[in-house]
Amino acid sequence: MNQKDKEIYDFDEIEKKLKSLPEKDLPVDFHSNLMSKIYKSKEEEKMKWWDSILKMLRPREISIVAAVLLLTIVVIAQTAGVIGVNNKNQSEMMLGQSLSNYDSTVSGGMSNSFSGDMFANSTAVSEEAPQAAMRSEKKMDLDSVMNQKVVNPEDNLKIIKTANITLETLDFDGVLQTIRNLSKNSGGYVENSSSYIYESHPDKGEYLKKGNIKVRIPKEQYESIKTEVGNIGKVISTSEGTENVTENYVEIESKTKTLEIQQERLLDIMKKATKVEELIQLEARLSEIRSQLESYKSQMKNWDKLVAYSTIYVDLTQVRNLEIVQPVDKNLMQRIGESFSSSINNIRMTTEDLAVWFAGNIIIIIINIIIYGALIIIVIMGTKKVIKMIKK
Amino acid sequence: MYKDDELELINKAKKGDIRAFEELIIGYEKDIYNIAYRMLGNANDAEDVSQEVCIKIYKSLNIYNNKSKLYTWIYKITINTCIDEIRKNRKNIGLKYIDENINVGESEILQQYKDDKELTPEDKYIKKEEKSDILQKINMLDPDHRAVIILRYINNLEYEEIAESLECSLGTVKSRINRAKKKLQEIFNNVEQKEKKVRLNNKKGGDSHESKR
Repeated sequence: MNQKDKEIYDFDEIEKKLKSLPEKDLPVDFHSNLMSKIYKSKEEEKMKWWDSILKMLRPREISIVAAVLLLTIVVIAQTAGVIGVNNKNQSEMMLGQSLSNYDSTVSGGMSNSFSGDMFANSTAVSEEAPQAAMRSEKKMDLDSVMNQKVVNPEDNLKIIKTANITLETLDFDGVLQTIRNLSKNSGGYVENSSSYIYESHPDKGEYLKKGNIKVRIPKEQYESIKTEVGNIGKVISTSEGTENVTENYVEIESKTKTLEIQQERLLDIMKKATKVEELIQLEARLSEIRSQLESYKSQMKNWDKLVAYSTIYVDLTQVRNLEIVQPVDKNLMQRIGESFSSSINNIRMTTEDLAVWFAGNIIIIIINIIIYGALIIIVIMGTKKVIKMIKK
Repeated sequence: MYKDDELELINKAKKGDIRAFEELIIGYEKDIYNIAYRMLGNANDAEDVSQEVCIKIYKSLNIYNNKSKLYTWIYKITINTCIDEIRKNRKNIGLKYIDENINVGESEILQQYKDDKELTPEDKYIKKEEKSDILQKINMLDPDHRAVIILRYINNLEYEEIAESLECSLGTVKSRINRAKKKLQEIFNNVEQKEKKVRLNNKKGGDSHESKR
């Protein structure tokens, strides 16, 4: 066998063959599958982060951290002179200028939060309804200022929010109108509402109503409007739900992109096709793709609408204003009761002050925890080493 | 160095913006998949590995310094993942190419139709056989040699870019390419010789069978 027989190919020929290799097309669902996996991996990473923190916080570690935390709070509180002193102004100062300004502006009845204190504000409801819109504007202004500074991590997510609130009120029509105004001023709308008389006393001219109203609020205004609605009546129950459709949305969006690419490719092929049979086949596939695209796009539009507006359902019940008959003399039980409620009030106020102070000093507390935690770990490890050395 | 707006997308993706990453990766998916397909020789494995590569890119985009070219960095991850996969399996999964007829999506059929509409069925068969044949021969090379041949002669990368992608010196790349070329040439010629022998033996067998008659 001579040299010529052996060397059939020179590399130039091989190179030509290599360069003539066609590109292989991606599998149809490649991109959408990839995006789903990436989204899942992001979720898993978050979970891992929490898991690692939870693993770090075993019962023994938790008790050590809690002890250090408590110790730190007591030490700092004693030096700051906060515990035992009901000095509200001092704690308000610590909350920062913007919040204290806001508190003083709306302190006329805004002390209750949405989840808030039902006992303190149960009867003085009807008078507040006309003022609710004004408070809403102030609150919304504050929220908008705060939103400019803080980037909400939920912004990238597609979350549909819904809240259910059950209210009791003395002024049914006033509250209903306030809710309507709130939704209108925030750029939302009333989806439906209904009301009926459930108890009537024509002789007294008394007609008590029940009803409900469903409003759609722009998602940016959702929190503020929800708080406002909670403040215009006595809150009997609240519930809140969210539905995260981000994963499905991303998947449908990827599928849409893939289908659009396919559609473009088919249109290109159609331009070059010559036979009627081929054209019919391509047309059939194109119409399939178009109908799929339409369905995906309408689904995405629907999600966009649902996400852009949050829903608040309010169930309203009108109640009678009960007059409380006060006895002339206070008996022993009443005095005990008053004394007890007074002590409860004191405890509550102290707790509130402590909470406010805690919020104001959270950074210092965290720094202390880190320092003390590190010290404790070092001491424990050092002690273990010493014990081992002694045993040896 | 970058395609339009690529740098902005990279920065957004580094901050965890999935949409920006999607826009960024969509331009590289096909390249990654094709390199993996040539390296592994199997569409299913190539799909799995390419997805793994894309996820690795997403997770490690933070450590990407904008100094090197993005595509060489992406190719580096792709090649390393493929080599890991080959070593993990410890078998030459690339010798099969069995998926050519089985796992064909609609787009592939359309692509073939588009490319080959002028060819006769016989020509189409020969073309397909040739393609499969070349890929089988590439897969007879060591993974390292396979990588340089794919990057140089299929993806048309410069020596410097290959050095960047494989994280080795220019000299190493050159010598590796020379060795890979020689081996590939040997493979092509040896296979051709064997096929010739088989054809000759078949012919002789057929002749003697006829003469006995």
